[in-house]
Amino acid sequence: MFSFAHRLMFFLLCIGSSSAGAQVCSFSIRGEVIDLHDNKSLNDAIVTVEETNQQVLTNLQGEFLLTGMCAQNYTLIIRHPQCKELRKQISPPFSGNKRFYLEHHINELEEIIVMELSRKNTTKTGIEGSLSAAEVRRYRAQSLGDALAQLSGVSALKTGNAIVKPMAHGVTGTRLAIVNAGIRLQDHEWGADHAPSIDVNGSHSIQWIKGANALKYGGDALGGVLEIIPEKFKQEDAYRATATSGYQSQGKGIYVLTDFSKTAQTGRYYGINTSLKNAGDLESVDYVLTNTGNREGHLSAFMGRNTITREWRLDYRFFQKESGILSAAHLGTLGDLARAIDSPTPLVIRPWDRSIGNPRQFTTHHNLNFRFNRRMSNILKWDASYSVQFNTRKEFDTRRGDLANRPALDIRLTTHDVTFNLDAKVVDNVHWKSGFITQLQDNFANPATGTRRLIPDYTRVKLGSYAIIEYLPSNDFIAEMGFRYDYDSYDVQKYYRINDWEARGYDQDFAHIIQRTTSASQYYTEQKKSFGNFSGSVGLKQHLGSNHYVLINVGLLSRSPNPSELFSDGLHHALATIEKGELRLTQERAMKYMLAFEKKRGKVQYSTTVYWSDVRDYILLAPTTDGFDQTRNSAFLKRKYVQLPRVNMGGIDFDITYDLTANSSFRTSLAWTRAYEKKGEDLIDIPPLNLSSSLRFRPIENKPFELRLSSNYTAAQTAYPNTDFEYTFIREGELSTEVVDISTPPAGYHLMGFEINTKLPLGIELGLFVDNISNKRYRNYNNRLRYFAAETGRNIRVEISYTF
Amino acid sequence: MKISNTAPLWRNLMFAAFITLAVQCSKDDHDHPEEIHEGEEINRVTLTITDSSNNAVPVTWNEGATVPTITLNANATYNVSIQFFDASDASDVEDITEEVVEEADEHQVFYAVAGANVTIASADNDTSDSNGNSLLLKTVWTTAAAGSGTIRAYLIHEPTTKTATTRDGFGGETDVEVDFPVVIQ
Repeated sequence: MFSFAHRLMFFLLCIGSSSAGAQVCSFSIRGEVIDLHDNKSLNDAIVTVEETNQQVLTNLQGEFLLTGMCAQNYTLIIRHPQCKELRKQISPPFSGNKRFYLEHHINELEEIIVMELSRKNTTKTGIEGSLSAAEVRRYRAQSLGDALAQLSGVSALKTGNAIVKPMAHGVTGTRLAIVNAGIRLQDHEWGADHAPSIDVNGSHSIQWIKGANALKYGGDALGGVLEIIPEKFKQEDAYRATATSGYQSQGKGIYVLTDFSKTAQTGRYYGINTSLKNAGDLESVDYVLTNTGNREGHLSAFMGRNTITREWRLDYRFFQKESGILSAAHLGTLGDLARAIDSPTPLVIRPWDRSIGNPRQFTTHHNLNFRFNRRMSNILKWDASYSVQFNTRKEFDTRRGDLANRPALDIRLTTHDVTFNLDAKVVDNVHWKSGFITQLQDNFANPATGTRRLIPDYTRVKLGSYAIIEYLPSNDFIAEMGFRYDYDSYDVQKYYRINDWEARGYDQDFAHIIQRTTSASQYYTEQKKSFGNFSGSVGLKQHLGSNHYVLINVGLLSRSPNPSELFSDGLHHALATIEKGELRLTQERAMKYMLAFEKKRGKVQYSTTVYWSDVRDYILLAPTTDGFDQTRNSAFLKRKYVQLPRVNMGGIDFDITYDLTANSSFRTSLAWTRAYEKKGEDLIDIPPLNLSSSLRFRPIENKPFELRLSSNYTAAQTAYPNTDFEYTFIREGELSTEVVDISTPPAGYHLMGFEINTKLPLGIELGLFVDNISNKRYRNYNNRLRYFAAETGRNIRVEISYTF
Repeated sequence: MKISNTAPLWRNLMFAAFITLAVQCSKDDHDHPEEIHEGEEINRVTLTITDSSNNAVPVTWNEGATVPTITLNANATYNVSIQFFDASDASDVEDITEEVVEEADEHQVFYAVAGANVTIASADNDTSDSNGNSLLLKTVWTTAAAGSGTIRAYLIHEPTTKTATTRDGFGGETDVEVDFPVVIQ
């Protein structure tokens, strides 16, 4: 067993050269022991020289020094209490600082990879941002969107406060893949006002692969891939059980979270975690945000077994959420929108209430996922998985009569995925990775709503396959190149109103898809649409010395228009907007270039990424030329999906962490994005410049008492398109036609936060969190409901957690 | 390598998974989705204008069409009733006014006048809600000097108050808003 693991671990290790004086035992071996899992130094690791029995311990920085070494081969044995033993042969010359990576926490495989350049990442040359398990844990009571916004370059696109969608490098939705435990989440095909159905409490760590490199998950994500990585368990007889409960002043919210897992020496494990959250109306500084309550329930159960050569895992996840939509945002007509913008306070303010009325959104997500990994030998491993996810979304509007309790939107999306991935070592420094995915998706829009389907019934089949070659010629350089091809096809059944159909010229181009004319002046159509998408990427990573690296990524992306872009047909009450899909849309293609400098170890760690993308046929929901639709219930803003021939997006993400002392660290990050149509207007909803900083310290040495101060500055967005419209008010018995300013972004703002965490005896942990300390009044450009109400005021949250 | 004793379990699971997939695939994809008859859109508004000699003139706005002009005599009194319809299906026009009357507490009609010399008040046969507030479904229009202007008719859903004098004052959500040009001669 050991010999197998050892064959596996002997990778490459030796740098530089120096004169090797023979037979003189005056050499020294300098090294560092590092935790492969989180890249931190391991202190008190025991380093033994097998040949001489000489032993040293690593210091606080994980470093060790062996002196009096002769010019011969040695075997070093490195041990650490929570790690598997590492045996490593080294030969003279012993110049330079050697790094030894121990697999810490995870004894999943008796494999310790001694590789200098990189951790076990999804991509070897990918430019990444990540949230460690500890950072994710801090956000376990909040939404995934809020947690992800901690990554510089990721922001949140909100609809109110409960519906938070992550946005990365200025894009969201289908352009930003969210992968949970290896499977891409499907429900954000449903447009901007749908948050991902993932509970932070059930997530372990999160990684954001910024470019096109994560070809394993798709070649269509301009904003990259947000990967939620499940916890890996040790092979030991142990269990963990934690219960957490909290209260927050905003919405008088309460929550209860539990986390349980049991592991065994045999590698078997199982566990369950749950979350329940309940909050009533939130409050801005000056008024109650009527009907902004939220209920959430989550359950995740898993079981599996890890052994050296094989691993299986079965996961079931359930997520349910009911969110009230700000009453003042429910509009009947364009006139209501004009009046709402004209008014400094929301048009509907009622006393505080815990109950949720209409309009509201109710979403459910079920996911069953089975995965099997197999390591055939030290040169070949593969994994296969099957996943089924079932997403539903219901929206209840304020309706009349019998319809009041019937949803106005009721869509059900079922997706099956079968994946297979292979990783083979071709020769010593060349790896070949490839795989395929088969996806079958079925969307059903329930006709019982009595409203036209926003997204029609369709089935979608997607077949994809990729191949990546990794070339590792030396310790300091990695090159990676990959390709992917996806075939994507839709089979759609949809009713079109005849007047719409003709107004859009579909009678010229799509007459062949009409099956029949119905009594209610509609065409029933059936159509098949298919797209072939070719994508690719090249990545380089070069060590510049002293742990500084430069990374270059170039990606070619191709994305099929999604169902909402092709077929949307309906009304969004929140913005009094009618959204129309466009059958003529073609694929969106982009080149994305990124350059990054980073140092992820040491006292000062930083990462800076500059990106630039050139997008052809960018799909955008844009106002139509006639501005609004007078044909339906008076007036609505009319938005149609169009393609802009060329769009450029660029920006910078920067973050730096400075460990001031052993007990304090300072972090600051900055993100800026610019996006515009070439020779045209700026794009809408691009997050403005953001600068956030935090200072974390433990005032008493060796006491688990931690303070954190945070500051977040968001500038006003200065690059935005003009989407203003004119409305004729009746003021004092006279008609008055005025421009309604829905374009100008709100002013910049600065928020401060404060946090105390302490561990008490008996497994009790206490936390106090204060957000928006100064109770600042502000509005957020990336909140689609900013026209109707200000953001929430101060929030005080207390949390107690008990570990059994 | 010894075959792990977990194999039967995962094989069973894989089998179950593929059965589920197969069942899903074989489901008849070509069921025609049911046609939806929307019955809650207001796309026709009719004002019936009755003069003192009992001559009734209907003035109807249909979605997408130009709003017809209302012609009134100066210094006269008219009884005006308003009706709301869903005429999406020409063979089955639904009168939404009935629902408005049934849910009188949640609805309110309001007229805003710009430029014309017309005053509008509730008629004796008007519908009232449970608090005695008139809905303005039936109104009396009194004209003064000749001129022209606009009468904007609103149907308001869930107004925050029923006694306001401006559209802003009522709050709620506008179900329909139609501008009728008016000429007083």
